Amino acid sequence: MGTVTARARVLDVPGDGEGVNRHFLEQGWTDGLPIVPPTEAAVAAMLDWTDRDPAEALGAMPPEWAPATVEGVAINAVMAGCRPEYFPVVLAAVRAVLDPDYNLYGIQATTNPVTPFLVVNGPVRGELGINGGAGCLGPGWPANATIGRAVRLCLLNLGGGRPGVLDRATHGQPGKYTMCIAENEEENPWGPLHVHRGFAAATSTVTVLAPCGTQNIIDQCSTTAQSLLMTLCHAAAYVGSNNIFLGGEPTLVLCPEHAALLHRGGFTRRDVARFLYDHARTALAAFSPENVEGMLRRRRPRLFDGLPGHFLVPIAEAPEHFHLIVAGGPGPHSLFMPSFGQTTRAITVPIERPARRP
Amino acid sequence: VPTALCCSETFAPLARMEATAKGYPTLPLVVVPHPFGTMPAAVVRGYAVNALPDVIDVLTTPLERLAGRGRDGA
Repeated sequence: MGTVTARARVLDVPGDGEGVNRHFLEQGWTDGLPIVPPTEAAVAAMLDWTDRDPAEALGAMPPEWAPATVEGVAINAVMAGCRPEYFPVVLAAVRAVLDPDYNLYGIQATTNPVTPFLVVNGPVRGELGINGGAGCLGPGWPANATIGRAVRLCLLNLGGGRPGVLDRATHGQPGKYTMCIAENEEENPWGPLHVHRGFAAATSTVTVLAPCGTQNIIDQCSTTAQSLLMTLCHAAAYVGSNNIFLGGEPTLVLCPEHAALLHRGGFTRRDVARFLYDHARTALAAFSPENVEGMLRRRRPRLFDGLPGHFLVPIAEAPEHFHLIVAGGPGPHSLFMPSFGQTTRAITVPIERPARRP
Repeated sequence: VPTALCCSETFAPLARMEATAKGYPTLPLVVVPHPFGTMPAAVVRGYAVNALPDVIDVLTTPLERLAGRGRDGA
């Protein structure tokens, strides 16, 4: 358990819901969309879904480094429109982004459009209706929409990451409003992500990644695993991607049809990652001279110093750095998600249930 | 070790917040124009030359006199 801090103060905001919304908007406490007023009763209902002390600080949230208390997270979860039973997932996600290896300071303050992307695994997906199938990235799914939004409101209100002020993103991205899915475990031929990351199948978890966006990869013609992998490799290894410049942990969100094709071709999860590591590459000659010097050789001289133009630049430094997730519904579309680079790592945290269900 | 913290003007508010949050609210910042990553080397060299007196000042002024003299006007 973390440090125990002061509780939030109660505001007396006159007027109806519209007046409350106007006040919160004027104070800069929203993401620009209407919020659900965080009344004492609504926050208490949220807090019923954790055994943690409301005053417990989960950690200091950058860039303002204010303590992120359990109560503070609950207030933002109410504002985001979460149902109380979603709160354990929100709490786990906040604990995950506060892990030092996630580097939330960099993610909040950078010009890069990166944002937390939540992938939920385990039985909680079905219990809460978190969608991992058709259209899972939205719109239209209350649990996906509000859980991801709750984390964003925490980053704004507890971390102080105001866009254009301490959040220095050049454009940001739509995923900075909310970005949360379940994994489509039932159609992942290699088993769920959280099991691959060392958790029991019956444990529910949240994995947070830091993608800079989603890039559609359409392939509706390939009939062999190798053919599909050619498409995936070419789509992922483009000059200008974070990962080809900075290394790190690129993510592929495979649609069920693509995952099945790879599996039918005899490729294990490890084989796919190995293929991506070996072949998702671009020749050094395709980079501008300034980028070869400034982005590749100066940052990672061990890899690139003195190499000729035909040398191939990988998008990760090891096969195990690739994240392979299965999500989505029918259709020939997978997603490539470049990450923030080597300065962030995916974090998986188990979801805690209260000892007594409210 | 005497240290001068340099940042571009776009990041000065963030640097001030970070310094304040970490307990150094009067940490002097040497602020240079933004951007410099995509500017010609000669322009960047000019930024450095212009910033040099402030860097030397921060590195050579006793700590007690530096307090409260933020170069970003904070």
